[in-house]
Amino acid sequence: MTEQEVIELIDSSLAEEFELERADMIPEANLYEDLGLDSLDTVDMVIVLESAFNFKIREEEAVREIRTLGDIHRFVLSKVEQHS
Amino acid sequence: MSYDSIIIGAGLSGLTCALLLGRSGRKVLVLEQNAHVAPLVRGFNRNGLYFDSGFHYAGGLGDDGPLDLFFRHLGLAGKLNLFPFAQDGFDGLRLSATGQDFFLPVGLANIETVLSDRFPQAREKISAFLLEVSSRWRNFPYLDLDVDLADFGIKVVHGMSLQERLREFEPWPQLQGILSMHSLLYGLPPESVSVSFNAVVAGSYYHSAHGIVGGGRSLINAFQDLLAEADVEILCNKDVAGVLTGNHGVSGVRLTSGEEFPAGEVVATLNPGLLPQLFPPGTFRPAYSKRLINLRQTSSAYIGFFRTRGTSEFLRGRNLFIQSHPGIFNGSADQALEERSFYVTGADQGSSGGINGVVCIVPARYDEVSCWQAPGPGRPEGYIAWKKEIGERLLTMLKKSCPEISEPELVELGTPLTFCRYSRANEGAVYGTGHWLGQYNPHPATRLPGLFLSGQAVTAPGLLGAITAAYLTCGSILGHEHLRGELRTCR
Repeated sequence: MTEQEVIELIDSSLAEEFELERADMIPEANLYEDLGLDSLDTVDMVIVLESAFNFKIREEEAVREIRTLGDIHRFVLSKVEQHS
Repeated sequence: MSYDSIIIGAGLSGLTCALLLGRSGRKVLVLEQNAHVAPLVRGFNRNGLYFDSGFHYAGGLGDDGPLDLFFRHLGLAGKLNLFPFAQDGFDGLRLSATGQDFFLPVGLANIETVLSDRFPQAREKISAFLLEVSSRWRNFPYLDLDVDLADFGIKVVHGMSLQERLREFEPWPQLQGILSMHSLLYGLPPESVSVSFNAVVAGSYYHSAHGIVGGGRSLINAFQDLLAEADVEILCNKDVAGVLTGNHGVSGVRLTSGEEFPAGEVVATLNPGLLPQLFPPGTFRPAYSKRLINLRQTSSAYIGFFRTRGTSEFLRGRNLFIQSHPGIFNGSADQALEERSFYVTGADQGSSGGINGVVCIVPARYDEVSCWQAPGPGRPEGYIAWKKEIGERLLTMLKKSCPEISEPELVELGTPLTFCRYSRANEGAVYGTGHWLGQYNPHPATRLPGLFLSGQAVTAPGLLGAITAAYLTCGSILGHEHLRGELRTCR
């Protein structure tokens, strides 16, 4: 998967599962302030990403630090890289 | 009539939530679909004997135990008589092929001594395993009141399975069985459960094991007394068809009869997989609905109730976990009925008489009974004859593995269909939603204002699991520090 394909899969999965507007999904978008998610959505987000990419997310600290969509992109890209 | 809080389901979590919320000054209503409160826990009488169906013993009720603290805080302690299980061996692994028994004494230190004496070459490994259990079993906000709540963040659900952890005990297959037999109490195979979750359940029994005089029925009666004192209303035969929502979240519930009850808060203790269907489409985001619907359930069971001619004293204060051969405990229902592992306990042990009944629980698959599933209350023709055959096979299994039991005779049999009827769990899942390795079970709080979940699915099965779930849910409503503070004053 190219970097662009990874980002597209992240964005399309999140858009569908959280009913987000693709136009709002810029890397700088804050998940909580701009996209309307809250801390209760974190686990749902983890599950969506685990199932889209078929990996297991064990990085509790890293997940806790995620604030923007760009943070998710970077987090997933680094995991995809580890697995390849 | 309008309520502050409506609790869906009068099981152990629902009753505990009702009590905690009622005492906080809320006007609380509990709705139960069954004709009786706590149908799975209250047990029944047959042939003059009392049999427990869902409650058999509890862990964590000894000194300094978390359940003891909950009992005191709830006021249950003063209303119940407890009896300790056998200190020298409360739970035993019986290998039916050889007839060998291995009993665990009460208390981690005693377990370590007994197992190390029996398996001296595994001494260091036993010690390390039990140390892990002792450091993990209370690693939960309401089981350890001294830990900062902020330390309980997102729980990572991946990790080493119990089976992997026990691999180093391969030279001692009996020990592997002993250290994994409690998996039967949460209904998951050791390869699919984390070391931590096993520690939470098994650790509470390693700490202490107690029965309640009068069994589950006494427990429920005590709850009902306390709920009456707290002015909580309970209505049975009330089947909730949907949760009503308004602009500001939950606004009440509607029954299948069409009757509606307004309320600003709803605590749903039903299987979380059933939750989305109570709401209009679009209430939850797809991510959350799918997550709930896809939660994997535990397997189902047959539960046989037998009367005996003489007393079965060998079961006084002891349970037996029976498996055919040594090795990691296999509680699955994938093999032929006669090959399955099962659980045996004495009926009505707290009474002053002998033990004249035995309860036996054997894992089962729903597909073994699905052909008998029929709409409506009746069962198709042939079901009774089939049930009789299963009962006879269970009787043969019991006689073969427990020859000490004097002339057991089947008086009642529960099947996966029975569990479906009483708990509404998908496919009669005996412990409902499982705590599978890799599965994120739901949190009590939801994104819908006023909607909360409770029940064993959010914490763990058993009396301790169900009550802990209620504290966690009510903590989300009333404030965790408030509720933890109240508990601290009861220490």
